[in-house]
Amino acid sequence: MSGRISLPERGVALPDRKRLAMDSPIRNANLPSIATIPLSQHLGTPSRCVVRVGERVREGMLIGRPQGIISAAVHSPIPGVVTAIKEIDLPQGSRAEVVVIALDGEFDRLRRDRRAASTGRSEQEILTLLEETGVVGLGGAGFPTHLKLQPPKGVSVDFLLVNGIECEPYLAGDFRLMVERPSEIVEGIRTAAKLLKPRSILIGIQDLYAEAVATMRAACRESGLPIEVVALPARYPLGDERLLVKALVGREIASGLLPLAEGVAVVGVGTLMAVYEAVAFEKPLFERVVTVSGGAVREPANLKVRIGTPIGALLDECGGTKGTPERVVVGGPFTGSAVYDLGAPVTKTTTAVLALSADEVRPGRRTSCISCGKCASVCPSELDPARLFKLVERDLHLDARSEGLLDCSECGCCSYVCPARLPLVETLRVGKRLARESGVA
Amino acid sequence: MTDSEPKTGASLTGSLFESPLALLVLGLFPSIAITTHVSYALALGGGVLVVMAGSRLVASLLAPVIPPRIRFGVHLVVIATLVTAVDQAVRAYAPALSKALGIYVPLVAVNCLILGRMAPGRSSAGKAVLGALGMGVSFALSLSLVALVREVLGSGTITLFPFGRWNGIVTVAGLSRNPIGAFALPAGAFLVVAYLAGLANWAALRRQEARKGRAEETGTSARSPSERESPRGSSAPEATG
Amino acid sequence: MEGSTSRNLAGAPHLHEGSTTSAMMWTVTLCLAPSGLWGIWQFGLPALAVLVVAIGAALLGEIGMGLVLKRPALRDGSAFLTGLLVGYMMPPAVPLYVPLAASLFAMVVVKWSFGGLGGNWMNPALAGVALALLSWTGAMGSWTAPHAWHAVVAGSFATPIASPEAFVAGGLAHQRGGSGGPIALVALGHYPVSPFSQSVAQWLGSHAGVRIDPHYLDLFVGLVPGSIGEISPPLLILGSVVLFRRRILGWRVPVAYLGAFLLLIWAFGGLPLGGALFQGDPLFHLLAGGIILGALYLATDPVTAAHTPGGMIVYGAGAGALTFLFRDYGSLPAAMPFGIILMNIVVPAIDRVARSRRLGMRAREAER
Repeated sequence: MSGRISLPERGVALPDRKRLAMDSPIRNANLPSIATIPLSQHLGTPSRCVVRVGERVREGMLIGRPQGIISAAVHSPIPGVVTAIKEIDLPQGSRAEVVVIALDGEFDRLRRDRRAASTGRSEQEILTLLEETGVVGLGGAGFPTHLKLQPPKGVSVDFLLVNGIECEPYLAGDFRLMVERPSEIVEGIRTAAKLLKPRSILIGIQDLYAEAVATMRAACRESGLPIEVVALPARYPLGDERLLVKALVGREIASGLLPLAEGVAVVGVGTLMAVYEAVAFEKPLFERVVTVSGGAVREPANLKVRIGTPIGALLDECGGTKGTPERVVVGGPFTGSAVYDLGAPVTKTTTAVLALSADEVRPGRRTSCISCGKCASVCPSELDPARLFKLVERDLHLDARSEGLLDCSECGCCSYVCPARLPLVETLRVGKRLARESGVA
Repeated sequence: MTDSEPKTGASLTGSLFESPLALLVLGLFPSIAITTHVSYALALGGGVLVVMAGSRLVASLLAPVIPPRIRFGVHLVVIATLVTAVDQAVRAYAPALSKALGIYVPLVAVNCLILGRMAPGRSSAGKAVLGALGMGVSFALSLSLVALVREVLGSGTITLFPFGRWNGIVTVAGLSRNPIGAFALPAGAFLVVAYLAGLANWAALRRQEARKGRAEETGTSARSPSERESPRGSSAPEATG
Repeated sequence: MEGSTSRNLAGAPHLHEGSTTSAMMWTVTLCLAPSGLWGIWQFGLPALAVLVVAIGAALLGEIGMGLVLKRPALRDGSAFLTGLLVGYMMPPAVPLYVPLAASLFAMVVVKWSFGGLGGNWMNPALAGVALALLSWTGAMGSWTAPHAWHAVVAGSFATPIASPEAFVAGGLAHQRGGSGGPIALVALGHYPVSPFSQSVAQWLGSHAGVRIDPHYLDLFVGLVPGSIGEISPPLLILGSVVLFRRRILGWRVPVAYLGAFLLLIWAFGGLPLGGALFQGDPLFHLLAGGIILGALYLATDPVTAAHTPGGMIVYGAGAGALTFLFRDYGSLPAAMPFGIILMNIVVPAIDRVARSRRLGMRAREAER
């Protein structure tokens, strides 16, 4: 362990709920008979639809072309026929244009022979491949990877950090990937390193994942790459980019800047797996690992799911729910969205589908803030959430901005501990949007 | 740029007398000292009444003759004269009261001046005097109300004017032996004034809302993210952004 | 503008650690309970009656205001706690209308006129006690002998006797050029000591060679006249340790408060007794009167204390300094309530300065 590791005192230590799914090996989910594929599953401009209703599509065929600089390609996960192109509401609250495809036909995914991954391709080839295959950050934000792995001119990358923390409860997809396919992840790292040319490479894994630490260390040794695997204490939200950078290399990224601007690249384990598959097999991104878990799921599991599969189908595959769950969440329990329409589709950024019971959610009535200070004591961005909350509630979002509102990473630690059950994160999120819209320079 | 920069923007000199806050503060100090006994409040209120009505009468009678530039000075002199007269009268006919009120009788002048500035200009002398009478009466009543609450709670008595052999003091059964002394102190005075002002505000707000309701305005603005439940009670009007 | 707000479903996070405001309140109440029970034991049924009235009046006030303002009377334990604290600061033999008025004032005027829980800017219990101190100064300064003294003082729960603080303050007029500080003064005046502390002091003297004035023992254990909940430091401190462990209590305010108070007492406490600088008796002043209750439970009220880390230190130190001032040079039976109340008033200004400095640093960092 290098001596520069500095651990955060803030954030929260969460009860271990990963056990529900940690021991389930990844298995393929059933193919969806109808896939609903949003044309925007990434940060930036939505892709432009290039198919028509009634058209036949093949597995892996391009159905959405990237538009603009920050955009990504979207591919069909199944062979079939386009039955509709329409707009739906996504759980996150936005409306999106989607392509609906009914399963039909043969699977004939083009599969190149496995090349010796990145050694055979040039950097430009790799970047083009990543763009063509539509690989985006699978950890939640969905930033197009071909842009992420291109450092801005004049910036040299000191550190490539691999995010294997997976700090949110229930999620175990990254863990299973690290345990089952460590060498492929390392190949993905090799590709990323070829593009970024970092001075050092570190993988951060939480200490609960002891098995993964072992497998990754072994794989790194075998690969011959100078990768250091660091075990960090399991603490939420250590997987947050900024906190991980601070913990692993001791650098604080100034607010408003991306880590890459300061010479640090952070990439997730799932994304690196997708990078490997894109480069080795020219495989477009149309499936991903989703953890299906929660106290209200009968048989939690880690499934390899095709994009566009309705989340209700995943729950059914895992034995269904125990009664009516208190809440169904897409994503992690801290940053995900509650859903009521189980027809909502799995997208590139869907890390998990959770069915939570009332014991886990612990809904409570909102009461008055007593300024107990718990929120401020856990905030990883060192803000005072109760204070910002009060300012935003009174429409003083500009004052809130000058008190650090935009530094909020929406991790949810504050709402988690608030005894008065104030809707802190929700309100701050709205406040951030209002502050940005009110003509901030 | 922040939301909370003061929006009043009133320059201190220009609107010293127009700002309601300044008026409240200036008029408050004599009130604090006077309202320990009901009789003091009544007496002072009466004094304000006499001086206001008298000065307004004289002022409106003299108005056609006085050039506008020295009108303020003339008002001052008239008020000062009347106040001195009242002070002498009280000293002559109610020496105990005069000793108790002390300097606050002349200070009546300040109150009258302020209340006089607040009055809108009226055309006829008659209307002006009536307006001044009205102001005086309301001032006397509010002072007496404060004094009533303060004296009952703070000393357990109600001191009125002696009549015949009765010394004018009404004792309130439970409180006279163990009154809540704090109300006899200035702290209590501020409390009582604050609550009465709050009650007046609340009544005015209720009237305003009733008027709005009748005019059928649907003025719900969904500005703030969660305006449904505010932790504040409905009584005190809060200043938002 | 229209869009995601209305479509934002039950928001993240979807887990909660399970804490509630009322759980916090009842935890504090529970941690305070031993001290009150001790007071009832030492001062008898009158003390129990005072506590019952204080708590009852507080609950009445809370429910009443809930009805008037048409808000659900949040039975979250905060009214009970406020009533308990008011009762703890009352002398045991005080006429019952005193805690009644104090509690009602605390709930109706200080808490609910400003919006209820979280809306007040002055500690309601302290404000209620301040009302009592101003209105019935005599009653608030009449103390009775504790149970442990009934053998020595030939009295009962009704025997009036001066509290150590009052005794020392009263002795100021007679003593000049005092040597050894207040305790020597107290012993000189033949202030009673409980048989328990006498024997413990003797035992320590003969077996361990340690000389401790038995009056200190009385003060430390809680066998002196005083307010119902203020006399037993060990029980109060014990309760606060539990609160510290559960992160309900922070260290900044109590440390700043006690630090400032004790430092000033040590430096200047000897002066009113005719002594020189640095001859004050911090131990005596810490144990006599409500300093520990104030430092641990009243100044730390989260609603009315400062909310920024630096602000907490300034607030605590200010309250401690003012308490010292009122104790050594004030004329009311209690000093702690006023010290804290005055700082409550200044808290918004303190917080504003603390915040602007912190953000100033951060902004400068970001520019770099």
